[in-house]
Amino acid sequence: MHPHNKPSLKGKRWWPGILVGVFLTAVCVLASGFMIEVTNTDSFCVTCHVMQPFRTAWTNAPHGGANEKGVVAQCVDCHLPHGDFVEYVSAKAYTGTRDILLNMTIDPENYAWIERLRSRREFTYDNACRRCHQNLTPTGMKTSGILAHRQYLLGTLDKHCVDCHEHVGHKNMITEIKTFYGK
Amino acid sequence: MKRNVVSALIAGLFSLLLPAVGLAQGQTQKTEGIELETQTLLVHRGYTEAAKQCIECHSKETPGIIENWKNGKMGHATVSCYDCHVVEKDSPMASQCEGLKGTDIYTSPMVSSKTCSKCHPREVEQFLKSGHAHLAGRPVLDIPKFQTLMYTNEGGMILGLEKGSGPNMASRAAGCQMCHGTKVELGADNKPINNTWPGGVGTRYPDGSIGTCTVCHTRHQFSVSEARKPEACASCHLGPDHPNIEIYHESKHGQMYLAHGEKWNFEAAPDTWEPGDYDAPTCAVCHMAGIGELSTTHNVNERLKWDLMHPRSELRKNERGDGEKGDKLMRKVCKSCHSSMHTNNQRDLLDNAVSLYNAYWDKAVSMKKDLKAKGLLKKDPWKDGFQELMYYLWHHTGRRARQGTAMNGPDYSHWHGFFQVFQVYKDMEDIYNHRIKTGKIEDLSTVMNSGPL
Repeated sequence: MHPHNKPSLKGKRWWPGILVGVFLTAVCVLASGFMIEVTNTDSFCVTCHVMQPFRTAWTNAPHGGANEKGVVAQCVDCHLPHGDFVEYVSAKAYTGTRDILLNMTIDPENYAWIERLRSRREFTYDNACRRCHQNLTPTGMKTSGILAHRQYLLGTLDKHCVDCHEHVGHKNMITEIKTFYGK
Repeated sequence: MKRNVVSALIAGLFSLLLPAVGLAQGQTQKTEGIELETQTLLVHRGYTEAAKQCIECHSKETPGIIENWKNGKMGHATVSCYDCHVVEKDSPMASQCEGLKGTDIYTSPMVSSKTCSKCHPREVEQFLKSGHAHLAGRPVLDIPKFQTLMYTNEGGMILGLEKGSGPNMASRAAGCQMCHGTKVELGADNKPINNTWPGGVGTRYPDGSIGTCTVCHTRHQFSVSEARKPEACASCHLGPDHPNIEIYHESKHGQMYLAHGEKWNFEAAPDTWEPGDYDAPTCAVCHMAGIGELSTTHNVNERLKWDLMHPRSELRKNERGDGEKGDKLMRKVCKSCHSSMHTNNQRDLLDNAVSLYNAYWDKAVSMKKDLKAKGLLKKDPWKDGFQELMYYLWHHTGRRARQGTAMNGPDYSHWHGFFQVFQVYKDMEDIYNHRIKTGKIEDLSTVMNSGPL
């Protein structure tokens, strides 16, 4: 072996390690409690331009703070699963990456937002709703609500929360979308 | 004397008060000698201010609706106008009545099964799987032959009537859609147009929802007892092509209902409505009720074995149900009142009637195939005696024979059924032989002279 080949050989041995190290560091930082917190706010979500009308509609709805008690549910409170930590973080990583990519590639003015509403089951999770709404038949609830929620709790229905509460979380969302994109 | 003075004073005071009492009771309108009193309801019971306003205003504007509502279980359960009619401002069906102008409340006169599912999700889920939902609307909306019948022929385009004009749509609006439903079309104010609303059980709404519960549980009382009576089904299931109410009335079940049905209990809770509440079944008992070990269902296909509606009877499958399973479930219904021997005989008889009818139909199909291959069929089936008779073979006589047997109506099974099946078949056979022999289609269709009524 020629002596002056040695350093480059050594370099070749190091590069993969460095790359893996950088990648793992990035993952660790992104997965850190700090980054999770930072990226869990509506102000972070709305840095993606297309999210603005959804945020406006959310602000006007009880889940966005328009309620007597001032309670606010953040985007991620409904739009991420709240089962176990691994599920939560992996869904967050996948959803976040997909949203960034879509934000850069779609034409928001002509995107079929209203069609997308029909798939709300896929990005609004029952275990998220249930984290806050633990008692589905509280004192004072009307008979009609008790009847419907009882079927849900018995598990005899193929229904998710958002199948019945289809406008929950955002007020007049379609109008907000149309206004924002000037249609 | 003193007492007389006191009583005169009291009487006088009352007479002074009387006009005031009369005024307080409300306005009285005089219309050519008839006194109509306008009733105003004031409710203070578990409603939001907006909901109360709907009730109070509509008790004056549409008192008939409010009367029905307050006498039904919705009124008892504090489900009001607001709960069913208020929609998001965003809804494609959102509009405002005079009383709502200037507010942020939007309503829709159209209420689909989706609204009902807010409180009755299981019932609607079952209903949507049945032939009463998407399948019911299919003929009017999706099947070209049906559209030619509605618009070209019945709608008078053959007479030169303008396509899409009011008279052209009248037959569909007054007839077809009242049972099948159609797609609701909206005008600029989001109110229904072109006679597309109201409609039958399979109506499709602008928000993508399907189905109208108020066809059986009529608005605004939504009475369970009403839906359990055969008359609820009879507004569609009657007449020459599927005389189900007539078949029922001539069956022993119907005889008992007509004889003493008024004494039966139609109010029991779902799953508890059992023999004893009635001593013979209505349509709802066999097809829907939670009788014996069965659970209540709103999927009316669930307990059916054969498809007795279409040209050839097949075991139900896919979107039309599961025939094998349906047979087992229906036998469980019968078991509540009949021996297994009786049930088995009845079910075997239905299988035989289906085979007999199918044998006629298969022969007819084979004749038609021959004629088609030799170019001996007219393009317009309604001007072609053979094809028109073939329609009557399945759509009228064949259905009556099969359904009359299924529900034990001998007159329909025989005289309106198989008796006419063979007559229609023989006429078709003659036309077939004539065309094969001469190589020509006869000039005129004589079907409506001899066609079954």
